[in-house]
Amino acid sequence: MIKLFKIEFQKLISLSAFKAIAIIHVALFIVVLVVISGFDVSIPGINLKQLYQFPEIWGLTTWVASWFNLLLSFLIIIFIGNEYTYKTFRQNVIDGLSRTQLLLGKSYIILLFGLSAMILVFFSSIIVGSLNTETVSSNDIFSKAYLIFVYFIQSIAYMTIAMLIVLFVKNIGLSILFFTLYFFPVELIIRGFLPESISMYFPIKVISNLTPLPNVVDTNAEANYQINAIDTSNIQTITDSPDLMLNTFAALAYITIFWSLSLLILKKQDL
Amino acid sequence: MSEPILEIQNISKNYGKLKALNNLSFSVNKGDIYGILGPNGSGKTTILSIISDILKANSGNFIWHLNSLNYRKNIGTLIETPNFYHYLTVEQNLKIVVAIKEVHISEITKVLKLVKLDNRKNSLFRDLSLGLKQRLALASALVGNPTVIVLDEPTNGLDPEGIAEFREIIIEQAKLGKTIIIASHVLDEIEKVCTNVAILKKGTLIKTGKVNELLSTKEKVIISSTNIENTFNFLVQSGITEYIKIINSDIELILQNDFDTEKLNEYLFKNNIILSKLDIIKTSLESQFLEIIK
Repeated sequence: MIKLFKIEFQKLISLSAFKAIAIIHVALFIVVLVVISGFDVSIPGINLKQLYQFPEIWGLTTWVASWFNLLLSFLIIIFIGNEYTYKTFRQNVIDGLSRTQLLLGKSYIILLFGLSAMILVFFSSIIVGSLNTETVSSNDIFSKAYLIFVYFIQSIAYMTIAMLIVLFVKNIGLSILFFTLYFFPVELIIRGFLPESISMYFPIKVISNLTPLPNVVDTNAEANYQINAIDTSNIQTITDSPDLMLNTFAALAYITIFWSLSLLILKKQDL
Repeated sequence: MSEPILEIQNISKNYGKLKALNNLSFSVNKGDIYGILGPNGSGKTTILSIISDILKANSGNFIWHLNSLNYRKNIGTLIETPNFYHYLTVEQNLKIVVAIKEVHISEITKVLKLVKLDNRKNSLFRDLSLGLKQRLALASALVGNPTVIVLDEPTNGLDPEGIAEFREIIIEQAKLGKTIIIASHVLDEIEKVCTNVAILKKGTLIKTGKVNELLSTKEKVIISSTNIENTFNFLVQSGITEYIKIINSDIELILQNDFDTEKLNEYLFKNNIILSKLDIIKTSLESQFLEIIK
């Protein structure tokens, strides 16, 4: 495992696309978080301030971080696609790596990206939460910290889909196009033709549901304001998410399926 | 009897409708310098890619008789164009090879010196000329002192000096008892380096055997006499020819090593056969090769 990780890390660390996308990912995430946490608009029934405080901050940061999963997925496509462009997968096999080892090596990099993103979200949550929470017990701080593990699974799931696509297509540009098309309109259109009971288990739906929009309804204010005047039924929040546990297991199942398909493709294909 | 190190058994490979290899079988013995010769599109690269695990055969199989669980690390391979990470230096690329083969890092210095690329170890792969890239590929194939070396068109892009140096390296490696498999369409390369050869045409094995038997540079002799059939039968029975054939009213032949045209004439004269014609034709290696693949 360490050997494969070291090999892949050597390939990764000098890749200019990695440096560029990593910097953009971190910088954009921090900028967006700072901008959002500076928001202080008073809306009846909505307590925005609550979002920047413990424990709701975990929901906000993971929700914001989920926007940038696309960047991580593109990075995986570029990283693996380069192996086809320059036929270096061939060279690795010639030198003695098996096809399973090729996939394991890439999977370790996916884990590395997922872990790095999770650590970034963790520290961002701690900093923003600490700056906006006046008094809080340690129980409150970490009561929703499990969301960063859910975010980790989400990022791994997106990157596994990206890996599957690039292994199948063997071309960076086309893979990015197919991934983006499936991510945005294609699955949405297909789901539109299917009943909710089926469409809710489609990959992007399941995976994106892992980090829903945080609950912004002020429970204290609910009694004081005419909350019914605000239609919150269409806003999917953590509390009214169908079932976070079920979605997490479904996402883990998708990761397993996509990884197995990737292995099957890699084992069968000419390099 | 020689021990086989590689057995190729009935391998076929199709690219869509195109049959790249058709039921190909041959074996390579330990210590051979084995040439795979054929024109472009004959399937040389395809068969080497299949035995290197980078292409999948449609049918048939191959067996490497190597005493190792991970036998691939005992085979140094160079297929087609050199494929390395363009954004990494020569040394960084070899570090990856060393890590995969699980050999000591000092191997890098050793192989770079061997292929005379040590002064370019900090150059990016993309900045190297084709010849230097080919040297890096050869260096990579030699990492870990492999038992078998597989080379596909290894002198591509090399200058004459580079080609000579490459030959020296191959011969040196062969002296160490290594098995070397070289695919090439350059006859000269095969003749000067290889001991055995397989000749391919359109994915089919045409001939296989010792290089000096299949591709000799011996002269062809054309003779004629009053009774051509008697002369032909006499020569066949005498056993002084390697090859003999009646063409129109002439006999075309290649003499055994210890016979020349002067001796032939004398021998026939002593046996009451008078020649009316004796021509010597120098057959080039190329023309013999073209004859074989015709």
